[in-house]
Amino acid sequence: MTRVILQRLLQGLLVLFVLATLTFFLVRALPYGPFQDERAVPSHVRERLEQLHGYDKPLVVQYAMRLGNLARGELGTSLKVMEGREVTAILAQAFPVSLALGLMAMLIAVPVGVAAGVIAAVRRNRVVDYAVMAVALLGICLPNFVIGPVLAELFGRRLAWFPVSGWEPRDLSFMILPAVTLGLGSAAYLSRLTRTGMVEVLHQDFIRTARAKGQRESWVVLRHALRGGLIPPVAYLGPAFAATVSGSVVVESIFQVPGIGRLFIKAIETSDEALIMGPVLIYGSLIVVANFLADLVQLWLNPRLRSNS
Amino acid sequence: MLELARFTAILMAGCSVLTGCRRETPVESANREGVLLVGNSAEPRALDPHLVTGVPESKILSSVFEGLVADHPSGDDVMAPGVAVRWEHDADMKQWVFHLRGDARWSDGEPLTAADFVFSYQRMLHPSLAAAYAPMLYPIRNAEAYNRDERGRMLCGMDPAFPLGWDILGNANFRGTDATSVASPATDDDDRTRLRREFAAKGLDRLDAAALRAILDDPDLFDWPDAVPAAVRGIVVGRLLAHAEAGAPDLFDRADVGVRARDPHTLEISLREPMPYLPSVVRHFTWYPVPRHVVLRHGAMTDRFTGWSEAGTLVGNGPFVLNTWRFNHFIEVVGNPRYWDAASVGLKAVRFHPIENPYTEARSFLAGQLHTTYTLPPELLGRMRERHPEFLKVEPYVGTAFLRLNVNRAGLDDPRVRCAISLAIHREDYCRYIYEGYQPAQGMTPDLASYRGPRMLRHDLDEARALLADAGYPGGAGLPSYAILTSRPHPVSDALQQTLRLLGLRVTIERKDWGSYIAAQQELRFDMAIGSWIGDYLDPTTFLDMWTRGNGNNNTGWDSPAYEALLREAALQPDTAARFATLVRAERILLEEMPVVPIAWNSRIYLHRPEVRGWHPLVLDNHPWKAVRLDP
Repeated sequence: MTRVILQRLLQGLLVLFVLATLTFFLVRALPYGPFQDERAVPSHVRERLEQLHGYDKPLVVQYAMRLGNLARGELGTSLKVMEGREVTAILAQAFPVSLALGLMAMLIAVPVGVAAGVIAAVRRNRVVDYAVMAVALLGICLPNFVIGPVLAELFGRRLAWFPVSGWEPRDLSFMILPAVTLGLGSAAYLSRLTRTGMVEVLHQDFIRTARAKGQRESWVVLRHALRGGLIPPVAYLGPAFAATVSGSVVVESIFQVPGIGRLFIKAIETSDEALIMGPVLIYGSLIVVANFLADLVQLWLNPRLRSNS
Repeated sequence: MLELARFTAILMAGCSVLTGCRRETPVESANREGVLLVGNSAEPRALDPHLVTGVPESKILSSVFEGLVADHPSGDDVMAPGVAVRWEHDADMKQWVFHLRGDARWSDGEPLTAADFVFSYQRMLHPSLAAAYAPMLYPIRNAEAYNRDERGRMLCGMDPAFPLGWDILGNANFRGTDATSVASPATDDDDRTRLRREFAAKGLDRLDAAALRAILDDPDLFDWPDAVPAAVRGIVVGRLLAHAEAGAPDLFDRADVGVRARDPHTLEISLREPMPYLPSVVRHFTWYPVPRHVVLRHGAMTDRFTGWSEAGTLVGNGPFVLNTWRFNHFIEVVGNPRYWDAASVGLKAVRFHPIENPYTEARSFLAGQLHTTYTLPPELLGRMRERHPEFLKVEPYVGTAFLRLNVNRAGLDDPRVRCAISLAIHREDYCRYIYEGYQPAQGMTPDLASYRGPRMLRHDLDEARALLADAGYPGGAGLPSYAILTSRPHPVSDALQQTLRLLGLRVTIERKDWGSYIAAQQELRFDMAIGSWIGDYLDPTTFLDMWTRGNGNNNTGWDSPAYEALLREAALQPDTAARFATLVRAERILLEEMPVVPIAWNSRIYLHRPEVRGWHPLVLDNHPWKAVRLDP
């Protein structure tokens, strides 16, 4: 077990290193730099800025310095979007927001998705199944830039149940609409995965045995079938969580949520290398960690995997 | 399914309980508390007036700082007293004296004096600070030389006792040249050739002590114009070397930059040219004072981002003080009790929300979360007109939307082709269907102050076709295919494509992301580009100065000595009527040559609640926050 964890840790570090390298060179390959502006920046000012931020040094030297700083855990300062500010300080305000939003979205997506999947599987090929799966397909197909404004218009403006935009750290009402928008896609996907898993398990011999012993159907489904049926959705859960947290860019914009996504887009638009690197590494770490945790849960759920490790 | 329904029901019920107490919209409670909720587009990059360039920043800065002259709530051309109670100028409008109010204080209680202004302008112009908007202060005498760090000019050219005048000495290579253009005698060995190239590329002003010493030892390492005698060369290099060896001390005083504190309450500003509109210019945020004692407490004068302008540290002199700054969330400023006119400030606080998505902003406004928006998506204009006329504001704004042409491209190098493009555009239709709410452009410069441009833009398709034929491209034959560069999907590019097709031109649309779009224009890698310009102050030069040779915002490849001569002429005229007449002649040249095709004059289109008082249409859109009041 320790060996697996250690192995995964090294793999993760390698992933982050490659990610940092790719990001650095891709950003520097952009046809514009952080010291350009819509209104021309005088050339002597630009030269001075390049000098201040080390952009006058050879690219390889800059790359080495970047890696050195990253190894020391320093993300550096923003070059443009919030120039001069520590990226860590900026992310310290933005990341908890994105994380809270992502967690809330999963908190909505997992119960809704799993419940819908289980119900569909139990009522397989009946009206309920078709209805749930149709809604789920719709949920997968409808992008969140459609769902978001519709929810905001309906529940925010018309019914006035929730604020249409904004964010208050301790006020859950601001979180609901963006979280539902963000979670709906995952919920739909989870419900289809759960249904597939459950349908397969419900056909297994041990389920027939359980039924033959005269156990109640709900007990059979929840006690015997669910654990096996959850294997496919759980495998998806790790990446889904990472994707939810990092994929909130559009939702953050629609609902004016002060998370990482909006910062990230602005950083890319202005080629603010330091402020691109920070979120990229956070998203990268998130995916690595989430996948690792999903693997661990799978090990616990699926006895067939345990013997191999 | 039952579970699902029940779960949803519980969730919904929970939500209603959570929001049950929200009977009052944010705007309603803000009305009671006297807090103005403002949609402000983007998160500010910083709140240091010397380091920012954007409009969202300027809105916030104008609440926490105040310039010598303040904005007037209902008149763009009314100069309201700010830190200065009155000001006067000499006959040729070059020497200005601002008398500061005796009770002017910083928000921490320290007195605000003329020395703070001198410090501010020195900091803004200091070459090491690298302030992108420093050129806003170039009207001040010698400010440009100081900001560009033109050492030779400051150390020799400005010395009245120097043996050689700058008119001759200035031809020496101080600013650096293209390295490849330096010829080298065949006898030179490689090392010396390399040094000569390097020195020439850098120019005298940017050489370090070692390089200057090398030139002093071996004068042939540098190319001098023949008119500069050897003895003078030695003096020049000697002075530069002495300066470099002394650790390159600050040259603000040496350069005699035209700003001086006569006494704590009298500020003198000397300009390089007459400028009757100086009071209008000094309202811009680049001319605000910054608190010397606070800036220096957090770092050196020239350090960027020392943290002096954060929530908790920022000290200003405006009607409000910075209270809260939550990134990407909101910035709140609250009343400043030490402001000289605190009694007339009508609001308790202003909250700036950086809502970049205009649809979100409109939705927030309609849900009662904002008093005023930054903008309105054009698609919503018609619907708002119909359903919410009480909220809709459409007001003239100092901006022009245009099509920029690259005059280096084949075909577009002929003014007749460029004028044909302009003649083909039906500006009334463009403003009816595409730039809804905007005014058809009648020139580059919109009407501002008493300036009325030459008004020579017309629509005449037949004349356009005739011009094109006259240029040798009948029906567009022989012209290459052009791409219209744009940064966002906007119907104007499609409309222009169709319009130009009427002339027989083959036109494609090339969309680039924002940064690439800007870079392509600045590097002249485009054929035509959708663009716009927003004026900084109330004078036509804010629209005309940019179309000159070497100006970083020109980006057309076009320049005209006659045009620039007229701009120079106007710059020397202290009389406004005469000056405007000269500028009209200049603009006429611009519109005859048409390197840029004006299409529409901007409007500010936004949503605004009727309970906001003290808010009037302003072409510069600088609404003084202190005049705003809220009906409860």
